[in-house]
Amino acid sequence: MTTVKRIENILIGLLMIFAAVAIIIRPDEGYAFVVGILGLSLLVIGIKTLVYYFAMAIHMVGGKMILYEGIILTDLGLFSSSLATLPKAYVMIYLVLYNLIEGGINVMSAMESKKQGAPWKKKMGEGLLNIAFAILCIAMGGSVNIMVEVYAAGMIISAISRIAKAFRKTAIVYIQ
Amino acid sequence: MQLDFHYYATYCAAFLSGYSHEESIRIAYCAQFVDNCSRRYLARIKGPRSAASTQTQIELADAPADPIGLQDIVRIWAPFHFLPYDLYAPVKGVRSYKNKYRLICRPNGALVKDTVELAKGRSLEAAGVAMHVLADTWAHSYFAGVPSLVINNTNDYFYEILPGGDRKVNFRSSVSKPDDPEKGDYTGSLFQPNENSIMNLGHGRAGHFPDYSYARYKYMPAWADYDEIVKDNPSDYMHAFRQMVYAMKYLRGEHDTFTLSTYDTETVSEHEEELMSIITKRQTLASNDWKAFGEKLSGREIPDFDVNAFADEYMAAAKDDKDETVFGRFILAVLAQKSMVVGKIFSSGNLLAGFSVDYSKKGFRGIQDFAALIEARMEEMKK
Repeated sequence: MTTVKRIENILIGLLMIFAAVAIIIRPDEGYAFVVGILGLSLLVIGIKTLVYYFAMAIHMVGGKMILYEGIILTDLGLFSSSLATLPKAYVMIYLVLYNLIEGGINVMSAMESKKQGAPWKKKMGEGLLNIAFAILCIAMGGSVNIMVEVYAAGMIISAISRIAKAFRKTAIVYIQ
Repeated sequence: MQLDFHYYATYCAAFLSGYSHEESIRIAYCAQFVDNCSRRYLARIKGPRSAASTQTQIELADAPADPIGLQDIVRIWAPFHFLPYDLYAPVKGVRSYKNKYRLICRPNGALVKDTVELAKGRSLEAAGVAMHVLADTWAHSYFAGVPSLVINNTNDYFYEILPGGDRKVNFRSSVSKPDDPEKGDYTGSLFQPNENSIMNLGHGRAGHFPDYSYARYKYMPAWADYDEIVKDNPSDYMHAFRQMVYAMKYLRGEHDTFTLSTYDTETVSEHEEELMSIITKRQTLASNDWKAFGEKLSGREIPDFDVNAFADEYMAAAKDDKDETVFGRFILAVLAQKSMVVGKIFSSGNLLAGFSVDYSKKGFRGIQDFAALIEARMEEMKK
């Protein structure tokens, strides 16, 4: 990883922590923030897909589908961003699915490690935490505050992971 | 390739090239162990994690798709399973496309020569690792050891060439159903439009089909601009076998140099008919046939592959003695191969495998696990 990339990761991580704390303190504005992020995400993904098509998928057999996907996603993103509010159910579904999938993979990974006698407790803990988040989202389905806090907690975990990665050694030795 | 070729066929090739039964077993074991040496396994035996030469399905599912995660994947899959053919291949496009295109695997690239020469004068374990890499260049041709939709995707145009005419291969995503050569049903990874999805690593989209020695097929690789490619595995597997015999004769000192696109013709010819009958038999694992052939060659029993055969020896050895064990020498061979290939990729200006520090110029700045390799090389130089 280049030094610039390391600095970028640390700064983004710190910004994410700052944003997470902010939305915990002000949950009502936090909800609007989460909804805004989701709408913006679609737009960004759409534009990224278009850039990906013109940079890479244009060389690919059947690459035109990427172009169509980019156009549709960008259109959807623009449409979503124009909406004043997004039903809470969508945000809930996103949070529940994200945490369940992540948790499931972590738990399976931990079980595989355990079977082979490798360290597994940390991974299992992460997986159970993800699943607990998902259950919390379902149990507290009506509470905007809890939902925003779950989202903020996810952001903090991602931020810490991003900062930790910036300090990881990444070069291997080339011996002639 | 699978256990049948990496273990049993490698044993046969080693024995035909002049190694003893015991030496051939050791080489074959290490050739196969490349497909078993995951981080989880290394954690269990308390070996260095950087010596991983494969990733389990779960490890892959858990692998992050960020630049560091991708570099980690490339460091494992490119040096051992999808050796790049030409790191400087001329191709139009932006750098990110060029970098992935240049990791496409094919046999007889410059890195095959580097791989075999790296094992020269070293251990039997190093010979085993080199034979795995060499053999895989034949089965894994036209795919790359990096997750990439634009390189590794396959589409509906994928036909098996059969004596009675072409038959469309039915790729399905159900992992619980075994591949069915008679019906032409095979398991492949799910289509994922994400460029860096793990589903788009190597020949994942075509499942194990490219690994079957009997398969003759035609398809349109994502990168080939709608050109059809015909893959003749029986011919390729025979070439792989002949090249392994030639390479191991070189490692034993029968040839002074290792020349690309050179195959042993003399030793193998008298067994060609029998070999072709094994290779072309429509079965998803040819271990029994290869085993019977190997036992007929040597007159000795070939033990079934036991992944833990040398684990206790390694774990029981004192820290300073680990490099003298089978796993210790295997780990050094893996680190050397990884170091060499990642170094070459990095030197070509391609950062997909991450950074590589040239020890001879800048000293030790990398992952601590590689210190063992440096120490071993220094010991060699002293001798």
